[in-house]
Amino acid sequence: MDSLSGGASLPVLNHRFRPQAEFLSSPESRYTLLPFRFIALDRKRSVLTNLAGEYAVLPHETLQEFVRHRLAIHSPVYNELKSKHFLLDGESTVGLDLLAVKYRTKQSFVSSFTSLFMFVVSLRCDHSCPYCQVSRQSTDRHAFDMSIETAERAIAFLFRSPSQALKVEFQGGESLLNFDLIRHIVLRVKAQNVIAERNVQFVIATNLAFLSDEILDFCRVHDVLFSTSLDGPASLHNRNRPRPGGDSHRKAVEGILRIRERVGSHSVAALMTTTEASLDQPEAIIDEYVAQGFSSIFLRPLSPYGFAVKTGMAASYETDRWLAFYKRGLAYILELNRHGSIFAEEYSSMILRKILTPYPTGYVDLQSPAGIGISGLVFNYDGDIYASDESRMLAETGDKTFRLGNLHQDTFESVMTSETLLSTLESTMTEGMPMCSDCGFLPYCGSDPVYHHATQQDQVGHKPTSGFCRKNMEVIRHLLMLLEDDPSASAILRSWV
Amino acid sequence: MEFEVDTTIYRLDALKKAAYRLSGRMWAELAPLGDSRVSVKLRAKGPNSLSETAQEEFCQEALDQELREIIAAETAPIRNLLLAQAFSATSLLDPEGETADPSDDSLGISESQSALYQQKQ
Repeated sequence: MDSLSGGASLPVLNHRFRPQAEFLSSPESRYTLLPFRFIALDRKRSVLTNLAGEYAVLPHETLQEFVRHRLAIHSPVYNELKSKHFLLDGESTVGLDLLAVKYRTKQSFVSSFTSLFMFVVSLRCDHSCPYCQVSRQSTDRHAFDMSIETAERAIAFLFRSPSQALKVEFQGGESLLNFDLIRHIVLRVKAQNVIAERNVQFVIATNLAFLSDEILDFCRVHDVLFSTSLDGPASLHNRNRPRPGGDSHRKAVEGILRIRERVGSHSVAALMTTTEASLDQPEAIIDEYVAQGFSSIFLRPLSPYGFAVKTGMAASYETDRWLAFYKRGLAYILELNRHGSIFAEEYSSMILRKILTPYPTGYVDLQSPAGIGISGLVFNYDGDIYASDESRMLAETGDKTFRLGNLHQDTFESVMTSETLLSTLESTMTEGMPMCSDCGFLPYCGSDPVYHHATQQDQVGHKPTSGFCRKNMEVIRHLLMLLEDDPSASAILRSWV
Repeated sequence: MEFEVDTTIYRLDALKKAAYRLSGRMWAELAPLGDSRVSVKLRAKGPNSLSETAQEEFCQEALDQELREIIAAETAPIRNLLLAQAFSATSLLDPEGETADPSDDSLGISESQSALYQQKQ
């Protein structure tokens, strides 16, 4: 035992038997910093994040002490930083191994490649929503409907993706106005999938106004899901979404009930679009979602593309006003949960998943490299291929920057290796963009070159004045402060992950 | 507003990054003066005049950026190793331990601690 107390070390468990003096506080603690970024959380605290997105909140002074290697090695903060892979001590490389695995997991979405394919089966629509960028009021079926030949080429194209999971989403206009084509595509994809053996999911994005029993039965038999629009209570919804008869809300609510009864209770999801009229009534919008039996809501900002830009709505729609709307809505949702209702906010859930787990979200706006093309693609009714839904909305204003090709002229290989796509992805990775590369919120944020091109005429964008940057920084900061400072909110938010 | 800063406290990269980060509200013009001094001229951007605390704000941001530079420089080799390890098909951190035949027990895991200890003695 003398030799042990005198400092002789066992070959494997040597760390445990180091001399007592080594465990005492030392002005020059022997530890190595692991890569991390930081950003101010508030006036007194900083948030530190490592490559895998694990975080620690420290007073500014403690951060300085840590970086200058002055942390006492027995202190709680030292142990926290060590367990979360912010520092390394001893000779073990286990911490590095774990961190590398977590980082690889975080980036795993890149290897799964394009899995979402949106088919714009028709631009025709019965609604005339002022915020919609693409719909057409036309009775000419052939002018704005996708043809069978174009659909066949799109099907061949999507099976070229190496992704095991494929999601086929039907978009419009009003997609159900061309249900014959939807039925054709579903049957053709399923037939080809007998050989391809992918995990295929179908979703119809629709306003539900043209729902019929025939459509419902087909969707039940073929496991087709629905995604619809619900902007809030009837007064707001009908104001946002005018149609002949002014009954958009009634049609949507009746359709939701019919789908649940005839297809399945979880076969329909709803999305809301925030407008000027929404900003002062988040509670009423959330109440409507609760009343219609949904367990979550996605508090979305208004997109800055297409007709919305032309009509000047987006210009008057300031990020700060949306942030106030979001925070008020989130506070209301937390209060609902405190009173026993289980209800979540989807955007927060996705960011929380990035904060609290090593897994990616699959949400294209919260990833780097950006999700355009490599996560999702849009096949427009005329065969044009766009990098995202926002890209085709931009194209409707005459800006076809993100048009990657056409189904009748280009191959999967030529589209996915096109200079338009690759140079955009490369130049807009957050890890290399000014301000983003040093930002402590980088692991939780993402890249949106289409947004920055549309709003700042530059794919990289000027982050100090970017609405995207301001929105995400404030949402992430708000969520972290709730996690740190509000135990009851923290427990609810953690249950959403 | 014009003032000088010492580049032995704030390296030039930190000053540039601070200028960029604040560029939504103010223009910063940097000019090296020699002898480790840099002149910083701040001008308001937009209709509002420059805040009285602009210099303090700029220096605080430069200090944060300086800290980031220190962290980036110190962790660069490990960051490169981690990224290589994360995306490499083979182990770079412990090639022998991860690729050897487990039955060879190259790390001596099957031997007891006491046996190893006695062996060393």
